[in-house]
Amino acid sequence: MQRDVPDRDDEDLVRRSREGDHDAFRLLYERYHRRAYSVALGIVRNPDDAREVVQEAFIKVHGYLGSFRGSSSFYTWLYRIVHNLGIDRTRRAKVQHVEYQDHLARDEVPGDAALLPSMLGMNPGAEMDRTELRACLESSLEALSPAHRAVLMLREVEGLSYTEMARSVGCAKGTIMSRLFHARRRMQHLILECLGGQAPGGAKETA
Amino acid sequence: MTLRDHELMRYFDGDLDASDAQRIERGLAESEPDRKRLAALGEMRSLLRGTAQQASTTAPSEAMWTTIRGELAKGRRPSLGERLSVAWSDLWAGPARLWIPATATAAALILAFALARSGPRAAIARDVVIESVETAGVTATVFQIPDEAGGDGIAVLWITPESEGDEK
Repeated sequence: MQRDVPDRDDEDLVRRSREGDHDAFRLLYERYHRRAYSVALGIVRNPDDAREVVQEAFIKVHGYLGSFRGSSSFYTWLYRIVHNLGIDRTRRAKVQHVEYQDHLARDEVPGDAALLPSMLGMNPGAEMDRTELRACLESSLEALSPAHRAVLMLREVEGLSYTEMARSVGCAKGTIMSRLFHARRRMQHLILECLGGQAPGGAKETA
Repeated sequence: MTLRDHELMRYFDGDLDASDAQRIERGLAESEPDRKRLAALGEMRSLLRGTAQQASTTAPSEAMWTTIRGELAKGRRPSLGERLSVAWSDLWAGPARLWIPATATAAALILAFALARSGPRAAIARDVVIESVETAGVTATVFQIPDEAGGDGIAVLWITPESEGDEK
């Protein structure tokens, strides 16, 4: 399960980059920049900001190569930098309207709501337009806190393990599991609400 | 029987060991609501991956690289503080056993610093003996502080347990 071990190819590219081999650093960039951009965009929700986050992340990575001890994998290290820059940017830009915490009133689902049995399946118009579905997904992501968006991107899109996420985000594994659980539950309810459904047991949410 | 949310989530994420995963699978076989909840997690993952994959194709790859290359050409090196910060962060994000020597080293440095600053007793600091033994689950560090007359003085035993279960 544990796969947060240094990748030999990455190690070699890092070593060569450290020695001044720009082609090696370009290869690292080619290997990871799209994924870094995807994570950054998931957090900051703005293409220009995502672009700047990725640029800054790779510039920092290059500058810090001499300090990188390789105790975790390169991409976990890169994601940590992308994550921190993304969160910093959302704070600076004040695009978030709430504090960066796990148990946010805004991110809570009313009552003792659990993970939902279905999202699309509960909608009578399940054969909905893909554009409408995408719009719902985007607006639901927008309504999440940056911290919750970050864990969803790292887990659902990048497939990081809990331990890798903990290293990337810089917190305990238990915190990651809790944060991911709340993020998923919140996201499910937001999508369902957007699609016109009603959560079981439930009051409408106040996003 | 309904599976607990956190168990279902850990199963979905592949975080359970084989025996727990088999137990969840037996529960899933008997519970249609749980199978639907599991399917809902999969739905959301598919939606998010589809969106992210499309977004990644819009990454302005060449434009970003041009900017990065330009900045690197300026040759700005991070400050010592920035490098130390990253090195420290990397150390603490690494395998759990790195916490142990780091904690022992920090404790030894703090003790030595405190003794060195204690004026007339500064000579004692030169005589501090430190031994660190790592064994199953703990690290024991011994600080032997002789008294001013050269006697055995005080021995301090510092026990550092393994870090708290963040690793599988």
